[in-house]
Amino acid sequence: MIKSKHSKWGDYLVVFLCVIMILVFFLPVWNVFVRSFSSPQALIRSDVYLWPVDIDFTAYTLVLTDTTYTWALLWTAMLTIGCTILSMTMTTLCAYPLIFEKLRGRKFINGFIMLTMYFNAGTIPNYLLFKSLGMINSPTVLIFPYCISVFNMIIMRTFLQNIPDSLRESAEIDGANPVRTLISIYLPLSTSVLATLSLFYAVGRWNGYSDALMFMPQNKTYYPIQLLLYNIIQSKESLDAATQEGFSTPGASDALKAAAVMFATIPILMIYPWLQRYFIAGVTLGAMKG
Amino acid sequence: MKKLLAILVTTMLLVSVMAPLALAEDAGFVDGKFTETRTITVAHFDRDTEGWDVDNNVFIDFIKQSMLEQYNIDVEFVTTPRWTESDNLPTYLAAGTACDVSYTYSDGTIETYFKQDAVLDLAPLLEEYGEYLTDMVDFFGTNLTWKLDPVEGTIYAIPAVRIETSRINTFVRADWLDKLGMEAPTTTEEFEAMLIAFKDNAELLLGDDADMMVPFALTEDVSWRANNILVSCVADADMNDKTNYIYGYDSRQFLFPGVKEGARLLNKWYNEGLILEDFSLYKMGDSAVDNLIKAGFVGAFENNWDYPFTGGDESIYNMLTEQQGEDAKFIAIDPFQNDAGLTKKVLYSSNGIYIFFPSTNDEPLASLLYLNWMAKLENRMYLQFGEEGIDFEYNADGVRTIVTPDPGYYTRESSNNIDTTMIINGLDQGDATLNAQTKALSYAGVDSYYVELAWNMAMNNGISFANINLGSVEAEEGVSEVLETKRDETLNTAINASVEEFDAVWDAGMQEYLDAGGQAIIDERAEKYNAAYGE
Repeated sequence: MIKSKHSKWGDYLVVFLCVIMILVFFLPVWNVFVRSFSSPQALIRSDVYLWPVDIDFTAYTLVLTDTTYTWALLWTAMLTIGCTILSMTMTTLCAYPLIFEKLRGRKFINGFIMLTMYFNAGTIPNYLLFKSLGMINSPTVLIFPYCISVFNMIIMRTFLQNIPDSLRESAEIDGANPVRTLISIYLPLSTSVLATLSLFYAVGRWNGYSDALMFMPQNKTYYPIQLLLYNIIQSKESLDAATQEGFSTPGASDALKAAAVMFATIPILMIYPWLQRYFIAGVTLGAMKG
Repeated sequence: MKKLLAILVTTMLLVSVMAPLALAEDAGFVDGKFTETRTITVAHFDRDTEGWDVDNNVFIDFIKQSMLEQYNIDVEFVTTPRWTESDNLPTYLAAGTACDVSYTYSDGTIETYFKQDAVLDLAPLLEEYGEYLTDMVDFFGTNLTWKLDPVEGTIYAIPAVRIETSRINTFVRADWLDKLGMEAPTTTEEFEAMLIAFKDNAELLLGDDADMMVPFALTEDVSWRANNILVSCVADADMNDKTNYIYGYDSRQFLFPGVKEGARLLNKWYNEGLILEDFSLYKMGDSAVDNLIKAGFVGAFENNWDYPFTGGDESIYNMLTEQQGEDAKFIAIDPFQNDAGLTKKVLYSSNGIYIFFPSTNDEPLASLLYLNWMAKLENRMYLQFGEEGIDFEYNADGVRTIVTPDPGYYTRESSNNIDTTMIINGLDQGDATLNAQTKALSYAGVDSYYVELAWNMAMNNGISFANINLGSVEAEEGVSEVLETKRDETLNTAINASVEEFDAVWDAGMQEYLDAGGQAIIDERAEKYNAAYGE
């Protein structure tokens, strides 16, 4: 293939823009990272940009020795793993039957499920529902209500639909029932979508805090780490509250805030590179056929 | 409206005199005590204070025990996170799970839900049970009728009493003044001369860091961080309750006549390089400007009256001493005179957080008795000061000083226990002098001289505008966010403009503000005021 000069310059431009984009996304995170290692004095003098100044681990010591943080991290990790397993099970169990054309009322069920994707009842009706189910202020409210995402289910369904029927038929001829077919034929062929959707669910759960904020405000023991973080940042920045109350709350140091942010971000960042290839494959798949 | 207020208060007092006659009427309530235990739920903010636990706290136990003994009322506390309460409250109200005694700063939320019958009207309750509520009536005073609707006679909330009304101060580096052989400025002109001297002597004052010199620090929040300067340009004759009612929608006095001249002054200073160059980039909550102050680069600034002293070890006062030496101090000054030569400034009104009962409250008498119990001086003093030797002690002069106990049972949930003692904002011992003495000693590591000076400067010629309640103003609904943004935009763009363009930029910004709903609010307020009091 012969490349034109134009395309070469085009490539440079694309690479250049990509580098800029990477810097735009990366530098703020990097800045928070180096701030978390810098001394309060250096932060106050606004000396910290790209490299830590007067390296100081006090903030991390504070974060790591505070059981509130470590427990929240552990709890969020357990929650993320548990919810991801549950969500994947539910998503598969919902998507799989919907690929059978002979399923009665398939169109209606599909439409019905789709409807919930477009129309959400809103916070207050949800609150009332969870209240009547006895879930308010209980950690179950973080697990069950959002354990299935319609969007993810559709990706899953589409993927399963694209697996040739002949494979299923051959299994049926061998006497496999639908459950056996799912386990032996479909799931082994769906590793990429399973990995992608797991990542979607895991990241969503890891980063989620609004459900805990709205539906579990009085159960601090089970606050996910992100809500804890939200409260730390809010409490220190709420000048509005200070104005209303006429007194200012002593603020956490900038280094502590940065350390808390890094503490909550690093674990999920660490699993990203391992799952990245599935992630890209899965997203493209959803985009093409969804 | 005054008539209605008078009638209400008189009725309450009258009924209270006849209290013994009325006692027998409620079979379940005999001799000021319920015959069977009643339970009420009370809201309590949670600020993640280290060591504080609603189930293991001396103040909470004191309330529970005392209420049970005195009235046979079981008080249950329900916490809600301080920083998300305004998000949570509407849900609680809509779902009917709000506490019997609830509180919030968002009075708009209460009013909205009151209109939908989700909040109780307190007026008939106060009238019906007034006989049992004498302490409360004494304590709240005019706050009781703060939200009295002049037409309907309803009261949807009672604001807590704000004891300390000091609001904003101007601070300057006393050691810089000394180095330059200058006195603390007493007029706007002297203040300006001082800023110029800071700028011109940057090398003397900051040495190698001379290029970091910021004579006057400002942030995007101009209407707060320069409030005393802006207000000093309002004519003395306009600093009255009428102007405040008509033009005071914005609690930062942005619409007051004359504020434009204050902004012009800031614009001039900005163009002369006396104000932090990129101040508009520092939004609310950004600690960068505070950091500049702590690092010792700033000569003067305005903020909450005690701002340099708050924050414990990380306060401006303590950080500056630590980094710049003992002499480095900010002192409060009061130089901005108006046309009458007075340093008029706006103080807080006497209202604090709004207390209300949701309509799901089926124990209104017990709930009111709770407020009445707390209004007693000895009760609220215990809640604010706690145990002697643990939460407070007397110094050599016999002044109560606040002590921060080790995290645990005796921990206050917040400064002055503001949430546990929901009816009061600010320390109170029933005596203004004692209060001031205690206040002066209540900042960790801060010499009381500086606090007393700041208090005096903040209160000097201060005005607390009266509460004029002429019913809700419809034009105000749903515009607060837009107007707040327009206000900040106008002030920031005008100050950033060149001196020649100032008028054009200000006028355009103000016009946008008025078009976005500001004018409608002024008109409706003026109409209501004129209807009630005449032109």
